[in-house]
This record gives sequence, structure tokens and C-alpha cells, in this order.
Amino acid sequence: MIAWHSIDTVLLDMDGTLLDLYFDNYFWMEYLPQRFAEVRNISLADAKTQLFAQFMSHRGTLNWYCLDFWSQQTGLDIQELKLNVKHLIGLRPNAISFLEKVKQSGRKTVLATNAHRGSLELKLQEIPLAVHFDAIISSHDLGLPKEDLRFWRRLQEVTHFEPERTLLIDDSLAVLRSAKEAGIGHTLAVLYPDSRIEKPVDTQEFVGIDCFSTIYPP
Amino acid sequence: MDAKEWNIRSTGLAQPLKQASSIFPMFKIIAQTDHFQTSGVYYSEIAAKSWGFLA
Repeated sequence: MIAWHSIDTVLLDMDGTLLDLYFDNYFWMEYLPQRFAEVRNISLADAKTQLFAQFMSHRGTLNWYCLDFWSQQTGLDIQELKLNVKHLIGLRPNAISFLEKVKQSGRKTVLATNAHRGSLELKLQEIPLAVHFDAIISSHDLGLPKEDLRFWRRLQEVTHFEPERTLLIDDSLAVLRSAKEAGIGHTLAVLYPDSRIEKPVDTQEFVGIDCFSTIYPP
Repeated sequence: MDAKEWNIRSTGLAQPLKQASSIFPMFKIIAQTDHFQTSGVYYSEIAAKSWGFLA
């Protein structure tokens, strides 16, 4: 399934790839609308209508992932609200085992996420992922989201990988397409980014993985 | 953030400056390239050294 002999570096997404996307889906789709409705004294349905319209208009941009931006938009302290539900942050199956095996195989591991610095720090405090990486990059630090073709060039400047000998695992098809266009040689999508959603994602032109145990390096 | 000075050398590609993080067991390095400046990318000590960001 994976030509490990052709891979020196593994780039990994965080939310929906290493971590269960349930936390983020619950926070943005349920918890935040509930708090927004309470503060604005509107119905939950109206809160969702207003918020989801805003979400859609910023999808795929850095604003979409920016906690400061959404704090300004909603008038709520998003970072503080996330702390209230941080117990929902969890790993996807065998994520740590996979990272250990990649590291043991001598390959470089890089966490490349669109998550805002605040969200990244919260999750790395809750889940001991950092020790398994050679580098950790929030796209906010490079000034471009992963959906932007130019992101990969910037990432290469600070992590020194050979695109054609690099594997990217990401749950976003838009990100995978951008990476592929930028010359990333190997790509894998995620079939079940959210553990509470039983239906697999249609990963279209990309091969999707169910569990990390199916792709351990030799 | 427990900022701490580190002996960083320039690579030509980037001009990393300083800082370590108390949050992650990693080095936080500010990089200035021809195209952008990061406010901080985290590196393990081995990676920071092998990629020329840390002497």
C-alpha cells in the first residue's frame, strides 16, 4: 500500500488524522452554538444558522482556523470555551504506535496543522504527541493555510524535506490536492476522521486509511 | 513562555533567532526567510541541529 522504501519524511495533520475530529466537530457544531445562543438570547437554531453561514464564508482560509478571529466574530472567548470541553480531545486508533514505528524506522516526522497556536498548545498539553515529532508547525506561523500551494514551499524551507520522498497523511481532500500539486510524492486520506460518524469519507482520488496499524513501516 | 537564548547559526535559507518553549519539549525557533518570517516553529533538538538551526 505504501512504498516505504521511497519515503524519508512523514508529514502528519493533527485534527482528524492523529486526533479524533469529534472534539472539533462537537465544539464548533454544538457547543459554541449553544453558548452563542445563550449570550445572544436567541434560539439554538438561529445561532447555528448565523454561525454556520459565517463558517462557510471563511472555509479554507486562515481565518477559518483562527481562534482570535472567531473570538472577535462571536464576542466569545473561544480559547476559554475550548477548555470547558477539553476532556473530549482524543487520539485516533494506533496513532501513537504509528508515530513510534515511523521514528524507529529513522524517518523524519513533522506535524503540519492548520490549527491555531492556541488550539495546538491545548491539544499538545492534553495528548503527549510532541515527543514523537522532529518539528511542529502551525500554518499560521507560515502565513498561509495548507490549502494554499505556496504553503508547501514555505514548509520545505523550514523543515528541509524532499517533496517526492515525502508522505502526507491528512483528512482534508483540499489539503491533499494542494500538497500533491506542490509535488508531495505520497498522500493518504483518512476514512474515519470523526469516531462518532460511522459512514466512511469518500476520499475520491486518494487512498484512505482506516487505522494506522494497516500502514506501519517495516 | 520560558524564553531562553540559544546559540543559533544561520543556514542561508533561514535566519533562526532564539527561544525555547516550556510548553513543548522542543525548541521554538523564529525563522526569517526571503519569503516570510515565522513567529515560531517547534523543533526537536536533533532536528534543529541536523537542519542547521541550532549549533
